[in-house]
Amino acid sequence: MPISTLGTLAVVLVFLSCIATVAFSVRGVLLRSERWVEAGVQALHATFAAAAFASALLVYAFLVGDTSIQYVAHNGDPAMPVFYKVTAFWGSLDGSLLFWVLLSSLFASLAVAANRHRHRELIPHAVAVLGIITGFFAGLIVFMKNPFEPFLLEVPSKGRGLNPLLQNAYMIVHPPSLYLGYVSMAVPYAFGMAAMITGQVDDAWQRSVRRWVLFSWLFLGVGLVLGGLWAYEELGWGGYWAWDPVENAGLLPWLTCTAFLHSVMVQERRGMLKVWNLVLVIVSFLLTIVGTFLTRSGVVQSVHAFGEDPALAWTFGAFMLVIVVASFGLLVRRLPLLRSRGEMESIVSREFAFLVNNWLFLSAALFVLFATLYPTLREWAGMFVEWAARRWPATFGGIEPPTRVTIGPPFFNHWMRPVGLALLFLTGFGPLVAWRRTTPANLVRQFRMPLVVGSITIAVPAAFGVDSPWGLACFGLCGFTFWTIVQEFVRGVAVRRRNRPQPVWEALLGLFVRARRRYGGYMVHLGVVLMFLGFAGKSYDLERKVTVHPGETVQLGKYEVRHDGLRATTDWQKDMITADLTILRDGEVVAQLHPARWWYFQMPEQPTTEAARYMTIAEDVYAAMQDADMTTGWTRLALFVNPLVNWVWIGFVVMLIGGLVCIGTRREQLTDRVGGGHRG
Amino acid sequence: MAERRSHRDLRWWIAGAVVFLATFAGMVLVGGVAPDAATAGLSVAAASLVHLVARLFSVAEALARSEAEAVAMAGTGLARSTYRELLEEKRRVLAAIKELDFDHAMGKLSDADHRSIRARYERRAAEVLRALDEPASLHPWARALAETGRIPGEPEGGTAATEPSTPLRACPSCNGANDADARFCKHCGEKLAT
Repeated sequence: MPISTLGTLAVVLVFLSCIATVAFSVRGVLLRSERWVEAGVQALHATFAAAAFASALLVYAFLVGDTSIQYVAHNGDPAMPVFYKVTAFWGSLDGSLLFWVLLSSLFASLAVAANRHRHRELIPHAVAVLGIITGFFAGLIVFMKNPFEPFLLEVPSKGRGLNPLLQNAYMIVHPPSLYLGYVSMAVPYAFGMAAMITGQVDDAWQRSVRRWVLFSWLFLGVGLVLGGLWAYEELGWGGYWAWDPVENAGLLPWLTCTAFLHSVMVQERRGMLKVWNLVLVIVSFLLTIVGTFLTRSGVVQSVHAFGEDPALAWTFGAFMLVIVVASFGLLVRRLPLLRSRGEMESIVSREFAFLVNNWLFLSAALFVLFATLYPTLREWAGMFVEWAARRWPATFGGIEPPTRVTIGPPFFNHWMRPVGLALLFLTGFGPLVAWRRTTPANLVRQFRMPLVVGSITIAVPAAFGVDSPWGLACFGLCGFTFWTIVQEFVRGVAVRRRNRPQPVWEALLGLFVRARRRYGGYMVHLGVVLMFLGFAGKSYDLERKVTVHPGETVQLGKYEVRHDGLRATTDWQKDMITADLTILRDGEVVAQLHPARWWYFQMPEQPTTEAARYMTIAEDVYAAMQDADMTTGWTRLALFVNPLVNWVWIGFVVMLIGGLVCIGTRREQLTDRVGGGHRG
Repeated sequence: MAERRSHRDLRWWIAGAVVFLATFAGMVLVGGVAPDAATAGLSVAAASLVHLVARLFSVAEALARSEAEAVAMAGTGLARSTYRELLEEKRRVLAAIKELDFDHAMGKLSDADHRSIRARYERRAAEVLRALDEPASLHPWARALAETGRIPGEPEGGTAATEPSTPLRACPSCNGANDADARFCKHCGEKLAT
């Protein structure tokens, strides 16, 4: 049997298995029958097994170069290294949908196995919801985008190969990482829905999902930062974040996840914000679907991609509508159960800081969403007006149809900068104020030192000539927040040592072991501060666009850049022109840079830019070649000095470690079970 | 039974690995195929096919079971989960009290707040501890499971845990049930003869 037939059978089996999962679970709930519930759970595991089989077949088709399958012919190339052949699996739309189904069924299977005996009543409902979500994507594969579709007439002998832009280490990790983040949000959503359906809207469902949300949040973060790093090194415009629609699509659920991770603490501690937490989970899940939709259908970049595949876009639209109606319908029905136990007592309290944090995160997400979609919405409005003018010339004839506009990074930066700084302030402010209310004396005690440090970190850069008010505010808030974190650690260590004398390192370690979530959270905050330090550096960067000949030298701030010559080379997949640059400081050579331009044989009309940089902890000297002429030797260069930019990556690593500390292990519970009791 | 099921899962994983190795070795040694990435890919596909068949079999098995059997299997899980949940709840409440004290020591909570919130947690902790200590509050199966590692009615000598059951002993003063090796009665605190 050809792979294409076997593979098609496998994806059909995935789809049927999803239907069976949903049907068995629903029947189990209706009949209150354990037998059907168990069958539903087993069918969910079978869905994953079928998806794994289909994926293995597709990977095998790439490895063996079965070009009778359209997807393999379009994305595979026998000359590619094995590594790229495997990753070509998710390199394009059809395969990435199968990858979605694989991950989605894997996570569903893991989550259900982990919670099977913990929240029994929730399980059949959660299984059904997960089955529906996976089934939707499996249905897309079966009916619209089958990656195993064979060529009907003639079979090409050689594949076209993976898009060369994707043949890059970051690009191998970046999309699956975002994908992991997107897909894992389905689990919290399913448990949230199950909680609402059963009416058990207490804290139980959250305990099952907090780790999943953290997991999703971590992977979205990794995906976003790798995307930024890729843009910084590959695109050659000297920055890392351009508010590109596809990157925004990853940022949106990240923002709402962050909001959820904070507000869930308020519910745990004070029994408030129950509705809000459910809304956040629903919105986060919805945004992951929106994200998948935006990246997959091409709606945002151009209306033509939408025209090419309107069926897919409409199906996605219908699915999103179903999610919105079903989720919020249930929420409204369960409102009486969700009344909060506590109430806000004071504005100067932890709860209130959390609430403001949530508003900011959610409004940031909505703003980015709207600004991302605005050009498309305007275009649709224009199409509608044109159509209406033809239909009813009398009424609509005089109206000028709106045209597509471009919303650039300056617009986003203008609005997001204050939001970001406000969040940075809350990062410092929130953890220091008490739950319920804080006394003025306590406030003074907590904030004296951070304010002093914040003032110093404004004064010092100002003395060195930084004059951007945003930059100074950012430095000041970084100092303020940094000191609040230091203070928390110092006081925590002091309290532990007061309770029981012990060395400082032991007390510090004890903080992480005993209050993992809190001190892991502080580490995440520390990472945020370092990242903002990197953003602050942007306020005094330097940019020069120059045309130089070999032998010439240009001044770039305190550096000199000398052009030493051009080289043309070729390898198995591309032509390359590389410039040799020498970076000098005070007459001394500090680095050699080799920015290049590559022309892939597959797409010679689209050369790629390979930027080069001289990295230090304080700043990057960054060079990108925009154009070069081998005969005359003139080279157009974009040169940048990007201060503090590497702190963005360092900060992210700190954040990642903090996040892992928060996720932690289950060791404590195991000792409980084995020891039969809690010690200490 | 949950253990038995997870053992069976493990067996399937091992079976998958064996199929993978067998396919790979068979194709290379018998079929004379080059041991390259494509062969490995095909072996993975074969192994996942075996896994798929196993999973489909599990579905059929679940459906073939009688309702009573399914309930019995679920019952163990339920009982166990109640007990586990109580343990987890206990851990959570005690951790929350510690954190509260810590917050208070760091000056983030007024004395009055600290007292009132702590009192609330202490009440909750007391409830949980009592539930854990009071076998009657558990499902009879859960009690049996917690004490003997078996559920009643399960045949002896099966594949399930065969830990010998510990006899209970009654307290002479209040007649409450205690573990065989208990030194004090957990109901009334009376000293028990050892």
